[in-house]
Amino acid sequence: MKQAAYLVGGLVVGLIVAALIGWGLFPMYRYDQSPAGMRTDYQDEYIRLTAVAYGLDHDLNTATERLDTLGGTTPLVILTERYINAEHSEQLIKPLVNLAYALEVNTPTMTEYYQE
Amino acid sequence: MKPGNLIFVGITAGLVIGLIITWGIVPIEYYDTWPPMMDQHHQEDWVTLTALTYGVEGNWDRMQVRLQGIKTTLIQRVLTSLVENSLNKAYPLDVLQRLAQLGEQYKIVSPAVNMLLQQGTAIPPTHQVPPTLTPTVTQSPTNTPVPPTNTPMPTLTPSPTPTPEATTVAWKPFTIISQTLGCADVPMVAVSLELSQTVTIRRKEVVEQVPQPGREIWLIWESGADRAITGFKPEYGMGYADFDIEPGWTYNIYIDQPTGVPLLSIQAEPCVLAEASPGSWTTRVLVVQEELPPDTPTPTPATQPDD
Repeated sequence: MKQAAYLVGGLVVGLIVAALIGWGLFPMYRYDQSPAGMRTDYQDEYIRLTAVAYGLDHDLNTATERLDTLGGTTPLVILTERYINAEHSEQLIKPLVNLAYALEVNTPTMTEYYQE
Repeated sequence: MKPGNLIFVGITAGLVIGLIITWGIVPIEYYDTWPPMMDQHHQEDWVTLTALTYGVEGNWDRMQVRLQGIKTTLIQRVLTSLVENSLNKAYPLDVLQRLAQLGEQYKIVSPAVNMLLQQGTAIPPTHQVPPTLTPTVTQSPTNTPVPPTNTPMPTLTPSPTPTPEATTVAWKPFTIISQTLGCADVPMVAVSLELSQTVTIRRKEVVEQVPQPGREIWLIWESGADRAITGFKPEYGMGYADFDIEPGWTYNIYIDQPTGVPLLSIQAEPCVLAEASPGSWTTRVLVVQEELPPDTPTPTPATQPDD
């Protein structure tokens, strides 16, 4: 019984030390993240870069694949409307609106922006 | 067994089991990461998007922020592929040249980069995007951002060209100095653009004909337009570009800008040369020369560049 206690006690100590090492001091870096794991401002930048690239090559399929990594067109719409409401420059907004229109995604805010 | 040995065995077993769990089975889930932590495919896509956006917007500082932490070898590989593939796409010339300048800063060895840079024209940014988004470098999980190993020059300076030194020149209109006709199954028109210049070599004035790569040749007709850039068929000369044309249309040829008086207006014509076979069409190869004005200063002895 005492021997089992020593064994279990050592096991517990080993597990605790391993947790400190594996999750704290030397965590396993996994370089396999997708854009969805990036910080939100990087995700916004990814959407904007996708829109600029689409404006250059008009490759809607590739743009759609890129947006799908972030959950589809919803983040694009959210970002575009945020920029419009914040009255950012046309250089920022126009590529986003053009991409949204190409994807047949339209909101009253975008329509109102276009009409201005 | 001694207690100490039992404890040692327990600790060892706990360590092994614990590390298997923490490193393998249930590792840390990262969030709020940044581009260098993405898998290779997405990192390459990020570099591609960054380079294309730089080509469009010309914002060097912002581009550098986006590429922080990305391995230089990966950037070089992606840029090489991007610049070479972009020649097959209808990108504007200024975008192509910015991509080439980006490739040059990352020390890419590519015929496409060399050819696009031979223009020696500094491309200023088209517009500055307001830094409303500025991805900060510090990130969670904590890892120290690696400063970029390349330190590019923020100002774009012309690369040396074989042309003689001249500060500002006003080009005379282009002149067709020869036109070679041939016959082929489809009608075609080609332009070989050369710069005629007088240089001083060993105190003697010599007239040189220098092919002009990277120049835009426009073909405009009633229902459309086409553009080619000289130099993409080096087997015909570095100033060469050609177009296929169709019967029934009048085509206007322009150089650099599709405005003003065209260089030449042509139509597809059946071939009437002696060697013509039935159904063949005339092909034209125009050698076009542009010249410096007569009052341009004579340059000093030119240093021949290494090819």
